Amino acid sequence: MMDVYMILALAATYGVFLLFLHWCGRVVEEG
Amino acid sequence: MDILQICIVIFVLLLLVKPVGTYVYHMFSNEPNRTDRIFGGVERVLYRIIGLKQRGSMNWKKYALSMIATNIFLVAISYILLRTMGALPGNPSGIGNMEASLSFNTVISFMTNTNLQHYSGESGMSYFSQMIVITMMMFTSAASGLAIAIAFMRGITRRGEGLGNFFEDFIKAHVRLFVPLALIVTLVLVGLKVPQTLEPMRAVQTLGGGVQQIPLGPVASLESIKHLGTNGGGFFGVNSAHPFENPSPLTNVIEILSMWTISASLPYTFGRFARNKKQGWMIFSVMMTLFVAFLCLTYFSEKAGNPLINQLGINSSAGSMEGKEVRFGIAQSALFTTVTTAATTGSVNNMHDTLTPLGGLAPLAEMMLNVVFGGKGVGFVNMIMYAILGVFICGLMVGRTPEFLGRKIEAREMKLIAVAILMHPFIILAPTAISFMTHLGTDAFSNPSYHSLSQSLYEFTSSAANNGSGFEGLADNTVFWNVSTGLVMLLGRYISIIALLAVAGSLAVKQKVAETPGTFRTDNKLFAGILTGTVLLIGALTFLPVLVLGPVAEFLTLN
Repeated sequence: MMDVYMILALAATYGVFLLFLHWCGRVVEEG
Repeated sequence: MDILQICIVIFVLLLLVKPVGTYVYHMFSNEPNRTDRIFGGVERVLYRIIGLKQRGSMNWKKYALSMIATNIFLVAISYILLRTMGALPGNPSGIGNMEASLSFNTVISFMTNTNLQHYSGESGMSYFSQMIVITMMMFTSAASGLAIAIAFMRGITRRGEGLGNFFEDFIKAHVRLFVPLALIVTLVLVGLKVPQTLEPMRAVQTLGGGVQQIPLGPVASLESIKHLGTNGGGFFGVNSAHPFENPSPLTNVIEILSMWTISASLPYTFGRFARNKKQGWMIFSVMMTLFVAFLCLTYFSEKAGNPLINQLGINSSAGSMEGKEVRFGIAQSALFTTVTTAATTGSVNNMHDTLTPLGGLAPLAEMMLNVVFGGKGVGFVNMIMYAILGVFICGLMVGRTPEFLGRKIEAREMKLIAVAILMHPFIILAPTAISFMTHLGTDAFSNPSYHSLSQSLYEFTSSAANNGSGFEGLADNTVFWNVSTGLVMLLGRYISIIALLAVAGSLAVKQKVAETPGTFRTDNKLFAGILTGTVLLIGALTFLPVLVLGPVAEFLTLN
Protein backbone atom coordinates (compact mmCIF):
# COMPACT_ATOMS: atom_id res chain seq x y z
CA MET A 1 0.00 0.00 0.00
CA MET A 2 2.89 2.30 0.82
CA ASP A 3 4.12 1.88 -2.76
CA VAL A 4 0.80 3.23 -4.04
CA TYR A 5 1.10 6.34 -1.85
CA MET A 6 4.68 6.96 -2.97
CA ILE A 7 3.86 6.55 -6.66
CA LEU A 8 0.83 8.84 -6.28
CA ALA A 9 3.01 11.44 -4.53
CA LEU A 10 5.54 11.30 -7.37
CA ALA A 11 2.83 11.50 -10.04
CA ALA A 12 1.09 14.40 -8.28
CA THR A 13 4.32 16.37 -7.90
CA TYR A 14 5.31 15.93 -11.54
CA GLY A 15 1.72 16.92 -12.40
CA VAL A 16 2.23 20.16 -10.47
CA PHE A 17 5.37 20.82 -12.51
CA LEU A 18 3.44 20.39 -15.75
CA LEU A 19 0.78 22.84 -14.50
CA PHE A 20 3.54 25.26 -13.50
CA LEU A 21 5.10 24.90 -16.95
CA HIS A 22 1.72 25.72 -18.49
CA TRP A 23 1.40 28.81 -16.24
CA CYS A 24 4.91 29.97 -17.20
CA GLY A 25 3.91 29.57 -20.85
CA ARG A 26 0.90 31.82 -20.30
CA VAL A 27 3.04 34.45 -18.55
CA VAL A 28 5.46 34.50 -21.49
CA GLU A 29 2.72 34.60 -24.13
CA GLU A 30 0.59 37.25 -22.42
CA GLY A 31 3.68 39.38 -21.82
CA MET B 1 51.29 25.65 5.45
CA ASP B 2 47.48 25.46 5.73
CA ILE B 3 46.97 28.64 3.71
CA LEU B 4 49.56 27.51 1.14
CA GLN B 5 47.66 24.23 0.57
CA ILE B 6 44.42 26.14 -0.02
CA CYS B 7 46.09 28.68 -2.33
CA ILE B 8 47.66 25.92 -4.45
CA VAL B 9 44.27 24.24 -5.00
CA ILE B 10 42.65 27.56 -5.95
CA PHE B 11 45.58 28.34 -8.28
CA VAL B 12 45.19 24.96 -10.04
CA LEU B 13 41.47 25.66 -10.41
CA LEU B 14 42.21 29.04 -12.01
CA LEU B 15 44.51 27.31 -14.50
CA LEU B 16 41.74 24.85 -15.45
CA VAL B 17 38.84 27.31 -15.82
CA LYS B 18 39.71 28.66 -19.27
CA PRO B 19 40.56 25.36 -21.07
CA VAL B 20 37.59 23.51 -19.55
CA GLY B 21 35.22 26.42 -20.20
CA THR B 22 36.42 26.59 -23.82
CA TYR B 23 36.01 22.82 -24.24
CA VAL B 24 32.42 22.93 -22.92
CA TYR B 25 31.66 25.85 -25.26
CA HIS B 26 32.92 23.91 -28.29
CA MET B 27 30.93 20.84 -27.17
CA PHE B 28 27.64 22.70 -27.27
CA SER B 29 28.20 25.50 -29.78
CA ASN B 30 27.14 23.10 -32.56
CA GLU B 31 29.94 24.44 -34.72
CA PRO B 32 32.25 21.84 -36.30
CA ASN B 33 35.31 21.22 -34.14
CA ARG B 34 38.07 18.68 -33.54
CA THR B 35 36.15 16.67 -30.93
CA ASP B 36 33.59 15.70 -33.61
CA ARG B 37 36.12 13.29 -35.10
CA ILE B 38 36.65 11.56 -31.74
CA PHE B 39 33.09 11.42 -30.39
CA GLY B 40 30.85 12.01 -33.42
CA GLY B 41 30.65 8.32 -34.37
CA VAL B 42 29.59 7.20 -30.89
CA GLU B 43 26.96 9.94 -30.73
CA ARG B 44 25.48 9.00 -34.11
CA VAL B 45 25.10 5.38 -32.95
CA LEU B 46 23.34 6.55 -29.77
CA TYR B 47 21.04 8.89 -31.75
CA ARG B 48 20.08 5.91 -33.93
CA ILE B 49 19.44 3.67 -30.88
CA ILE B 50 17.08 6.19 -29.25
CA GLY B 51 15.43 6.97 -32.60
CA LEU B 52 16.51 10.61 -32.69
CA LYS B 53 16.25 11.29 -36.42
CA GLN B 54 15.42 14.98 -36.27
CA ARG B 55 17.76 17.00 -34.09
CA GLY B 56 15.97 20.28 -34.61
CA SER B 57 16.11 23.05 -32.05
CA MET B 58 13.35 23.02 -29.41
CA ASN B 59 11.48 25.96 -27.93
CA TRP B 60 11.78 26.38 -24.14
CA LYS B 61 8.58 24.44 -23.40
CA LYS B 62 9.57 21.43 -25.45
CA TYR B 63 13.07 21.50 -23.97
CA ALA B 64 11.69 21.53 -20.40
CA LEU B 65 9.15 18.81 -21.19
CA SER B 66 11.84 16.59 -22.74
CA MET B 67 13.96 16.95 -19.60
CA ILE B 68 11.04 16.23 -17.26
CA ALA B 69 9.88 13.21 -19.33
CA THR B 70 13.40 11.74 -19.36
CA ASN B 71 13.68 12.25 -15.60
CA ILE B 72 10.26 10.64 -14.94
CA PHE B 73 11.27 7.57 -16.98
CA LEU B 74 14.54 7.19 -15.04
CA VAL B 75 12.79 7.71 -11.68
CA ALA B 76 10.24 4.99 -12.49
CA ILE B 77 12.89 2.45 -13.55
CA SER B 78 15.06 3.21 -10.51
CA TYR B 79 12.15 2.95 -8.06
CA ILE B 80 11.29 -0.53 -9.35
CA LEU B 81 14.94 -1.65 -9.16
CA LEU B 82 15.31 -0.47 -5.54
CA ARG B 83 12.03 -2.07 -4.48
CA THR B 84 13.12 -5.42 -5.99
CA MET B 85 16.79 -5.19 -4.98
CA GLY B 86 16.72 -8.39 -2.91
CA ALA B 87 15.72 -10.49 -5.92
CA LEU B 88 18.27 -9.01 -8.32
CA PRO B 89 21.83 -10.24 -9.00
CA GLY B 90 25.04 -8.50 -7.85
CA ASN B 91 24.08 -8.74 -4.20
CA PRO B 92 26.77 -10.81 -2.42
CA SER B 93 25.76 -9.49 1.02
CA GLY B 94 22.13 -10.53 0.55
CA ILE B 95 20.69 -7.05 1.15
CA GLY B 96 16.87 -6.96 1.05
CA ASN B 97 14.50 -4.67 -0.87
CA MET B 98 14.66 -1.00 0.05
CA GLU B 99 11.62 0.25 2.03
CA ALA B 100 9.03 2.21 -0.01
CA SER B 101 9.43 5.70 1.50
CA LEU B 102 13.22 5.33 1.49
CA SER B 103 13.10 4.27 -2.19
CA PHE B 104 10.93 7.35 -2.89
CA ASN B 105 13.50 9.56 -1.18
CA THR B 106 16.49 7.87 -2.82
CA VAL B 107 15.27 7.99 -6.44
CA ILE B 108 14.26 11.65 -6.09
CA SER B 109 17.53 12.41 -4.34
CA PHE B 110 19.68 11.00 -7.13
CA MET B 111 17.50 12.22 -10.02
CA THR B 112 17.61 15.79 -8.71
CA ASN B 113 21.41 15.69 -8.33
CA THR B 114 20.97 16.01 -4.55
CA ASN B 115 22.21 12.64 -3.30
CA LEU B 116 20.75 13.09 0.16
CA GLN B 117 21.21 9.62 1.63
CA HIS B 118 18.92 8.35 4.37
CA TYR B 119 20.54 4.91 4.02
CA SER B 120 24.08 3.68 4.53
CA GLY B 121 25.68 2.19 1.42
CA GLU B 122 27.40 -0.73 3.19
CA SER B 123 24.16 -2.17 4.56
CA GLY B 124 21.44 -0.67 2.38
CA MET B 125 22.56 -0.98 -1.23
CA SER B 126 23.66 -3.99 -3.31
CA TYR B 127 26.56 -3.74 -5.80
CA PHE B 128 24.02 -4.01 -8.63
CA SER B 129 22.02 -1.06 -7.28
CA GLN B 130 25.17 0.98 -6.63
CA MET B 131 26.19 0.53 -10.28
CA ILE B 132 22.90 0.41 -12.20
CA VAL B 133 20.75 2.80 -10.16
CA ILE B 134 23.05 5.12 -8.22
CA THR B 135 25.95 5.54 -10.67
CA MET B 136 23.57 5.71 -13.65
CA MET B 137 21.57 8.51 -12.03
CA MET B 138 24.76 10.33 -11.11
CA PHE B 139 25.57 10.57 -14.82
CA THR B 140 22.06 11.40 -16.02
CA SER B 141 21.20 14.02 -13.38
CA ALA B 142 24.48 15.85 -14.01
CA ALA B 143 23.93 15.73 -17.78
CA SER B 144 20.38 17.06 -17.32
CA GLY B 145 21.62 20.00 -15.23
CA LEU B 146 24.41 20.85 -17.65
CA ALA B 147 22.02 20.67 -20.63
CA ILE B 148 19.66 23.11 -18.90
CA ALA B 149 22.50 25.57 -18.24
CA ILE B 150 23.62 25.42 -21.87
CA ALA B 151 20.05 25.90 -23.13
CA PHE B 152 19.70 28.91 -20.83
CA MET B 153 22.96 30.38 -22.18
CA ARG B 154 21.75 29.94 -25.76
CA GLY B 155 18.43 31.58 -24.93
CA ILE B 156 19.85 34.74 -23.37
CA THR B 157 22.73 35.19 -25.82
CA ARG B 158 21.29 34.22 -29.21
CA ARG B 159 18.25 35.27 -31.14
CA GLY B 160 15.67 32.78 -32.37
CA GLU B 161 13.00 30.41 -31.13
CA GLY B 162 15.17 27.47 -30.19
CA LEU B 163 17.26 26.66 -27.13
CA GLY B 164 18.82 23.57 -28.74
CA ASN B 165 17.79 19.93 -28.67
CA PHE B 166 17.60 18.44 -25.16
CA PHE B 167 18.35 14.86 -26.25
CA GLU B 168 21.36 15.93 -28.31
CA ASP B 169 22.73 18.02 -25.42
CA PHE B 170 22.01 15.20 -22.95
CA ILE B 171 23.96 12.66 -25.02
CA LYS B 172 26.80 15.09 -25.75
CA ALA B 173 27.22 15.81 -22.04
CA HIS B 174 27.70 12.09 -21.45
CA VAL B 175 29.83 11.18 -24.45
CA ARG B 176 32.12 14.21 -24.59
CA LEU B 177 32.44 15.17 -20.94
CA PHE B 178 31.25 12.97 -18.10
CA VAL B 179 32.11 9.47 -19.37
CA PRO B 180 35.67 10.27 -20.59
CA LEU B 181 36.48 12.33 -17.48
CA ALA B 182 34.96 9.71 -15.15
CA LEU B 183 37.07 7.01 -16.81
CA ILE B 184 40.27 9.03 -16.29
CA VAL B 185 39.48 9.96 -12.67
CA THR B 186 38.45 6.36 -11.87
CA LEU B 187 41.79 5.02 -13.10
CA VAL B 188 43.69 7.69 -11.15
CA LEU B 189 41.75 6.85 -7.97
CA VAL B 190 42.37 3.11 -8.44
CA GLY B 191 46.07 3.95 -8.77
CA LEU B 192 45.81 5.80 -5.45
CA LYS B 193 44.34 2.75 -3.63
CA VAL B 194 40.59 3.32 -3.98
CA PRO B 195 38.98 -0.16 -4.38
CA GLN B 196 37.24 -1.23 -7.60
CA THR B 197 36.10 -4.81 -7.14
CA LEU B 198 33.03 -7.02 -7.11
CA GLU B 199 34.39 -9.13 -4.24
CA PRO B 200 32.05 -9.46 -1.25
CA MET B 201 32.84 -8.12 2.23
CA ARG B 202 36.09 -9.47 3.62
CA ALA B 203 36.25 -10.91 7.16
CA VAL B 204 39.48 -9.97 8.96
CA GLN B 205 40.92 -10.77 12.38
CA THR B 206 41.27 -7.60 14.46
CA LEU B 207 44.11 -6.89 16.91
CA GLY B 208 41.64 -7.42 19.75
CA GLY B 209 40.96 -10.96 18.55
CA GLY B 210 37.51 -10.29 17.11
CA VAL B 211 36.35 -10.63 13.51
CA GLN B 212 35.40 -7.56 11.49
CA GLN B 213 33.62 -7.40 8.14
CA ILE B 214 35.40 -4.97 5.79
CA PRO B 215 33.03 -3.73 3.06
CA LEU B 216 34.47 -3.44 -0.46
CA GLY B 217 32.89 -2.89 -3.87
CA PRO B 218 33.09 -0.89 -7.11
CA VAL B 219 33.99 2.29 -5.22
CA ALA B 220 36.30 4.17 -7.63
CA SER B 221 33.82 4.20 -10.54
CA LEU B 222 31.15 5.72 -8.30
CA GLU B 223 33.60 8.09 -6.61
CA SER B 224 34.67 9.72 -9.89
CA ILE B 225 31.22 10.65 -11.22
CA LYS B 226 30.07 11.42 -7.67
CA HIS B 227 32.34 14.47 -7.79
CA LEU B 228 32.52 15.24 -11.51
CA GLY B 229 28.72 15.42 -11.62
CA THR B 230 28.49 17.36 -8.31
CA ASN B 231 26.38 14.47 -7.03
CA GLY B 232 27.93 13.72 -3.65
CA GLY B 233 26.34 10.42 -2.64
CA GLY B 234 28.92 8.13 -1.06
CA PHE B 235 29.47 4.43 -1.59
CA PHE B 236 29.90 4.18 2.18
CA GLY B 237 27.85 5.85 4.90
CA VAL B 238 30.56 8.27 5.99
CA ASN B 239 31.19 9.32 2.39
CA SER B 240 34.60 10.82 1.56
CA ALA B 241 35.72 10.56 5.18
CA HIS B 242 36.01 6.79 4.55
CA PRO B 243 39.60 5.72 3.79
CA PHE B 244 38.40 3.58 0.84
CA GLU B 245 36.65 6.57 -0.76
CA ASN B 246 39.30 9.18 0.00
CA PRO B 247 42.51 7.57 1.25
CA SER B 248 44.97 10.49 1.22
CA PRO B 249 45.39 14.27 0.96
CA LEU B 250 46.19 13.76 -2.75
CA THR B 251 42.88 12.00 -3.46
CA ASN B 252 41.22 14.75 -1.41
CA VAL B 253 42.60 17.43 -3.75
CA ILE B 254 41.61 15.37 -6.82
CA GLU B 255 38.06 15.06 -5.48
CA ILE B 256 37.88 18.80 -4.69
CA LEU B 257 39.01 19.75 -8.20
CA SER B 258 36.72 17.12 -9.76
CA MET B 259 33.63 18.67 -8.20
CA TRP B 260 34.71 22.29 -8.61
CA THR B 261 36.22 22.64 -12.08
CA ILE B 262 33.23 22.22 -14.42
CA SER B 263 30.93 24.41 -12.29
CA ALA B 264 33.63 27.08 -12.03
CA SER B 265 34.23 26.94 -15.80
CA LEU B 266 30.63 27.59 -16.83
CA PRO B 267 30.87 31.39 -16.42
CA TYR B 268 33.74 31.34 -18.93
CA THR B 269 31.63 29.16 -21.26
CA PHE B 270 28.88 31.77 -20.89
CA GLY B 271 31.35 34.51 -21.82
CA ARG B 272 32.12 32.61 -25.03
CA PHE B 273 28.42 32.22 -25.84
CA ALA B 274 27.82 35.94 -25.16
CA ARG B 275 30.88 36.83 -27.27
CA ASN B 276 32.03 38.86 -24.27
CA LYS B 277 34.57 37.06 -22.08
CA LYS B 278 34.55 39.97 -19.61
CA GLN B 279 30.92 39.13 -18.88
CA GLY B 280 31.94 35.58 -17.97
CA TRP B 281 34.87 36.68 -15.82
CA MET B 282 32.61 39.16 -14.00
CA ILE B 283 30.27 36.32 -12.98
CA PHE B 284 33.25 34.15 -12.00
CA SER B 285 34.76 36.93 -9.86
CA VAL B 286 31.51 37.38 -7.92
CA MET B 287 31.29 33.64 -7.28
CA MET B 288 34.95 33.46 -6.20
CA THR B 289 34.61 36.50 -3.90
CA LEU B 290 31.66 34.90 -2.09
CA PHE B 291 33.50 31.57 -1.98
CA VAL B 292 36.65 33.01 -0.39
CA ALA B 293 34.57 34.86 2.22
CA PHE B 294 32.80 31.63 3.25
CA LEU B 295 36.04 29.64 3.15
CA CYS B 296 37.67 32.12 5.54
CA LEU B 297 34.69 31.89 7.91
CA THR B 298 34.87 28.08 7.99
CA TYR B 299 38.66 27.82 8.18
CA PHE B 300 39.21 30.40 10.93
CA SER B 301 36.23 29.16 12.98
CA GLU B 302 37.52 25.58 12.89
CA LYS B 303 41.12 26.67 13.47
CA ALA B 304 40.09 28.60 16.59
CA GLY B 305 38.56 25.43 18.03
CA ASN B 306 35.77 24.99 20.53
CA PRO B 307 36.15 27.58 23.34
CA LEU B 308 34.64 25.23 25.95
CA ILE B 309 37.20 22.53 25.14
CA ASN B 310 39.99 25.12 24.98
CA GLN B 311 39.12 26.18 28.56
CA LEU B 312 39.79 22.64 29.81
CA GLY B 313 43.49 23.14 29.13
CA ILE B 314 43.54 20.59 26.29
CA ASN B 315 46.08 21.36 23.57
CA SER B 316 43.89 22.78 20.81
CA SER B 317 46.66 23.95 18.49
CA ALA B 318 45.31 21.65 15.74
CA GLY B 319 41.91 23.39 15.91
CA SER B 320 38.51 21.77 16.33
CA MET B 321 39.31 18.21 15.19
CA GLU B 322 36.02 16.70 16.39
CA GLY B 323 34.46 14.82 13.46
CA LYS B 324 37.48 15.39 11.23
CA GLU B 325 40.05 13.03 9.74
CA VAL B 326 43.62 13.47 11.00
CA ARG B 327 44.97 12.81 7.49
CA PHE B 328 43.18 15.93 6.21
CA GLY B 329 43.49 18.34 9.15
CA ILE B 330 41.67 21.67 9.34
CA ALA B 331 42.76 23.15 5.98
CA GLN B 332 41.73 20.26 3.74
CA SER B 333 38.55 19.71 5.77
CA ALA B 334 37.52 23.39 5.62
CA LEU B 335 38.30 23.59 1.90
CA PHE B 336 36.36 20.40 1.15
CA THR B 337 33.38 21.60 3.21
CA THR B 338 33.30 24.98 1.49
CA VAL B 339 33.68 23.54 -2.02
CA THR B 340 31.15 20.74 -1.51
CA THR B 341 28.46 23.20 -0.40
CA ALA B 342 29.46 25.85 -2.95
CA ALA B 343 29.35 23.43 -5.88
CA THR B 344 26.32 21.78 -4.16
CA THR B 345 27.98 18.39 -4.36
CA GLY B 346 27.22 17.36 -0.80
CA SER B 347 29.96 14.80 -0.32
CA VAL B 348 31.73 15.22 3.03
CA ASN B 349 35.23 14.42 4.26
CA ASN B 350 34.35 15.51 7.80
CA MET B 351 31.13 15.47 9.77
CA HIS B 352 29.34 18.79 9.28
CA ASP B 353 27.24 18.24 12.42
CA THR B 354 30.38 18.68 14.51
CA LEU B 355 31.55 21.89 12.85
CA THR B 356 31.77 24.88 15.18
CA PRO B 357 28.65 27.11 15.03
CA LEU B 358 30.14 29.65 12.60
CA GLY B 359 32.01 26.92 10.74
CA GLY B 360 28.64 25.27 10.13
CA LEU B 361 26.96 28.56 9.26
CA ALA B 362 29.20 29.00 6.19
CA PRO B 363 28.09 25.84 4.32
CA LEU B 364 24.50 26.55 5.38
CA ALA B 365 24.69 30.09 3.97
CA GLU B 366 26.25 28.88 0.71
CA MET B 367 23.33 26.52 0.16
CA MET B 368 20.84 29.25 1.07
CA LEU B 369 22.34 31.58 -1.56
CA ASN B 370 22.71 28.67 -4.04
CA VAL B 371 24.79 30.75 -6.44
CA VAL B 372 28.40 30.26 -5.27
CA PHE B 373 29.46 28.21 -8.33
CA GLY B 374 26.48 25.90 -7.71
CA GLY B 375 25.81 22.40 -8.97
CA LYS B 376 26.02 21.26 -12.56
CA GLY B 377 24.68 24.31 -14.31
CA VAL B 378 22.04 25.24 -11.77
CA GLY B 379 24.24 27.57 -9.70
CA PHE B 380 25.27 29.44 -12.83
CA VAL B 381 21.64 29.82 -13.94
CA ASN B 382 20.70 31.09 -10.47
CA MET B 383 23.50 33.67 -10.59
CA ILE B 384 22.25 35.00 -13.94
CA MET B 385 18.78 35.20 -12.36
CA TYR B 386 20.24 37.51 -9.70
CA ALA B 387 22.10 39.47 -12.40
CA ILE B 388 18.80 40.14 -14.19
CA LEU B 389 17.25 41.16 -10.86
CA GLY B 390 20.21 43.49 -10.23
CA VAL B 391 19.78 45.08 -13.66
CA PHE B 392 16.06 45.49 -12.99
CA ILE B 393 16.64 47.22 -9.63
CA CYS B 394 19.24 49.54 -11.18
CA GLY B 395 16.84 50.33 -14.02
CA LEU B 396 14.15 51.29 -11.51
CA MET B 397 16.60 53.54 -9.64
CA VAL B 398 17.67 55.51 -12.72
CA GLY B 399 14.29 55.46 -14.46
CA ARG B 400 15.49 53.54 -17.52
CA THR B 401 14.14 50.34 -19.06
CA PRO B 402 16.46 47.61 -17.78
CA GLU B 403 18.43 45.64 -20.37
CA PHE B 404 20.55 42.52 -20.03
CA LEU B 405 22.84 41.49 -22.90
CA GLY B 406 20.96 43.86 -25.18
CA ARG B 407 17.47 42.56 -24.40
CA LYS B 408 14.83 44.49 -22.50
CA ILE B 409 13.83 43.02 -19.13
CA GLU B 410 10.07 43.37 -18.72
CA ALA B 411 7.28 42.39 -16.34
CA ARG B 412 6.96 38.81 -17.60
CA GLU B 413 10.63 38.00 -16.97
CA MET B 414 10.50 39.58 -13.51
CA LYS B 415 7.33 37.65 -12.63
CA LEU B 416 9.06 34.35 -13.44
CA ILE B 417 12.27 35.35 -11.66
CA ALA B 418 10.31 36.41 -8.57
CA VAL B 419 8.68 32.95 -8.40
CA ALA B 420 12.07 31.23 -8.75
CA ILE B 421 13.70 33.44 -6.08
CA LEU B 422 10.84 33.15 -3.57
CA MET B 423 10.43 29.39 -3.98
CA HIS B 424 13.86 28.66 -2.47
CA PRO B 425 13.31 30.24 0.99
CA PHE B 426 9.70 29.01 1.06
CA ILE B 427 10.63 25.33 0.65
CA ILE B 428 13.34 25.71 3.30
CA LEU B 429 11.60 27.73 6.00
CA ALA B 430 8.08 26.24 5.80
CA PRO B 431 9.12 22.57 6.19
CA THR B 432 11.61 23.53 8.92
CA ALA B 433 8.77 25.13 10.87
CA ILE B 434 6.49 22.12 10.23
CA SER B 435 9.18 19.73 11.53
CA PHE B 436 8.95 21.48 14.92
CA MET B 437 5.16 21.23 15.02
CA THR B 438 4.97 17.44 15.15
CA HIS B 439 6.74 14.69 17.09
CA LEU B 440 7.34 13.03 13.71
CA GLY B 441 9.88 15.80 13.15
CA THR B 442 11.17 16.46 16.65
CA ASP B 443 11.80 12.77 17.41
CA ALA B 444 14.69 12.90 14.94
CA PHE B 445 16.66 15.65 16.70
CA SER B 446 19.71 14.42 18.59
CA ASN B 447 20.60 17.79 20.11
CA PRO B 448 18.41 19.91 22.36
CA SER B 449 18.19 23.70 22.15
CA TYR B 450 19.43 25.79 19.21
CA HIS B 451 21.27 22.99 17.44
CA SER B 452 18.04 21.09 16.79
CA LEU B 453 16.91 24.06 14.69
CA SER B 454 20.26 24.01 12.89
CA GLN B 455 19.83 20.28 12.17
CA SER B 456 16.35 20.64 10.68
CA LEU B 457 17.26 23.84 8.83
CA TYR B 458 20.37 22.21 7.35
CA GLU B 459 18.41 19.14 6.20
CA PHE B 460 15.81 21.18 4.30
CA THR B 461 18.35 23.73 3.00
CA SER B 462 20.50 20.90 1.68
CA SER B 463 17.43 19.32 0.04
CA ALA B 464 16.22 22.58 -1.52
CA ALA B 465 19.68 23.46 -2.86
CA ASN B 466 20.05 19.89 -4.21
CA ASN B 467 23.22 19.53 -2.15
CA GLY B 468 22.72 16.36 -0.11
CA SER B 469 25.08 16.84 2.82
CA GLY B 470 23.55 16.81 6.27
CA PHE B 471 23.97 17.44 9.95
CA GLU B 472 23.90 13.70 10.34
CA GLY B 473 23.02 13.61 14.01
CA LEU B 474 19.48 13.82 12.63
CA ALA B 475 17.72 10.43 12.67
CA ASP B 476 16.19 11.03 9.27
CA ASN B 477 15.26 7.59 7.90
CA THR B 478 11.56 7.86 8.80
CA VAL B 479 8.51 8.27 6.58
CA PHE B 480 8.12 11.93 7.65
CA TRP B 481 11.69 12.92 6.74
CA ASN B 482 11.87 10.69 3.64
CA VAL B 483 8.71 12.16 2.13
CA SER B 484 9.16 15.79 3.24
CA THR B 485 12.76 16.06 2.03
CA GLY B 486 11.82 14.16 -1.14
CA LEU B 487 9.16 16.74 -2.03
CA VAL B 488 11.50 19.64 -1.17
CA MET B 489 14.20 18.19 -3.45
CA LEU B 490 11.73 17.94 -6.34
CA LEU B 491 10.46 21.51 -5.87
CA GLY B 492 14.01 22.83 -5.44
CA ARG B 493 15.09 21.26 -8.71
CA TYR B 494 12.25 21.72 -11.17
CA ILE B 495 10.47 24.98 -10.27
CA SER B 496 13.55 27.15 -10.83
CA ILE B 497 14.56 25.18 -13.94
CA ILE B 498 11.12 25.59 -15.56
CA ALA B 499 10.83 29.29 -14.62
CA LEU B 500 14.31 30.14 -15.85
CA LEU B 501 13.94 28.20 -19.10
CA ALA B 502 10.77 30.28 -19.64
CA VAL B 503 12.85 33.44 -19.04
CA ALA B 504 15.42 32.20 -21.57
CA GLY B 505 12.67 31.40 -24.07
CA SER B 506 11.12 34.82 -23.56
CA LEU B 507 14.44 36.65 -24.05
CA ALA B 508 15.43 34.52 -27.04
CA VAL B 509 12.66 35.90 -29.26
CA LYS B 510 13.27 39.56 -28.39
CA GLN B 511 14.91 42.04 -30.71
CA LYS B 512 18.36 43.07 -29.58
CA VAL B 513 18.53 46.72 -28.50
CA ALA B 514 21.39 48.75 -29.93
CA GLU B 515 24.05 49.67 -27.39
CA THR B 516 24.31 53.40 -26.63
CA PRO B 517 26.59 55.45 -24.33
CA GLY B 518 23.76 55.32 -21.78
CA THR B 519 23.52 51.53 -21.76
CA PHE B 520 24.13 50.08 -18.30
CA ARG B 521 27.15 47.80 -18.63
CA THR B 522 27.01 44.42 -16.90
CA ASP B 523 30.61 43.32 -17.46
CA ASN B 524 32.52 45.67 -15.17
CA LYS B 525 33.53 45.96 -11.51
CA LEU B 526 30.58 48.23 -10.69
CA PHE B 527 28.10 45.57 -11.77
CA ALA B 528 30.09 42.87 -9.97
CA GLY B 529 29.56 44.90 -6.79
CA ILE B 530 25.85 45.35 -7.54
CA LEU B 531 25.45 41.62 -8.21
CA THR B 532 27.25 40.67 -4.99
CA GLY B 533 25.10 43.14 -3.07
CA THR B 534 21.88 41.83 -4.63
CA VAL B 535 22.73 38.22 -3.74
CA LEU B 536 23.69 39.08 -0.15
CA LEU B 537 20.73 41.43 0.37
CA ILE B 538 18.12 38.90 -0.80
CA GLY B 539 19.88 36.16 1.19
CA ALA B 540 20.03 38.25 4.36
CA LEU B 541 16.42 39.42 4.09
CA THR B 542 15.12 35.87 3.79
CA PHE B 543 17.45 33.83 5.98
CA LEU B 544 19.08 36.04 8.62
CA PRO B 545 16.28 35.64 11.21
CA VAL B 546 16.45 31.84 11.16
CA LEU B 547 20.25 31.86 11.17
CA VAL B 548 20.16 34.03 14.30
CA LEU B 549 17.93 31.45 16.00
CA GLY B 550 20.22 28.57 14.98
CA PRO B 551 23.99 28.84 14.42
CA VAL B 552 24.39 32.43 15.67
CA ALA B 553 22.59 31.64 18.95
CA GLU B 554 24.79 28.53 19.32
CA PHE B 555 27.89 30.67 18.79
CA LEU B 556 26.80 33.20 21.41
CA THR B 557 25.96 30.42 23.88
CA LEU B 558 29.33 28.76 23.34
CA ASN B 559 31.19 31.99 23.99
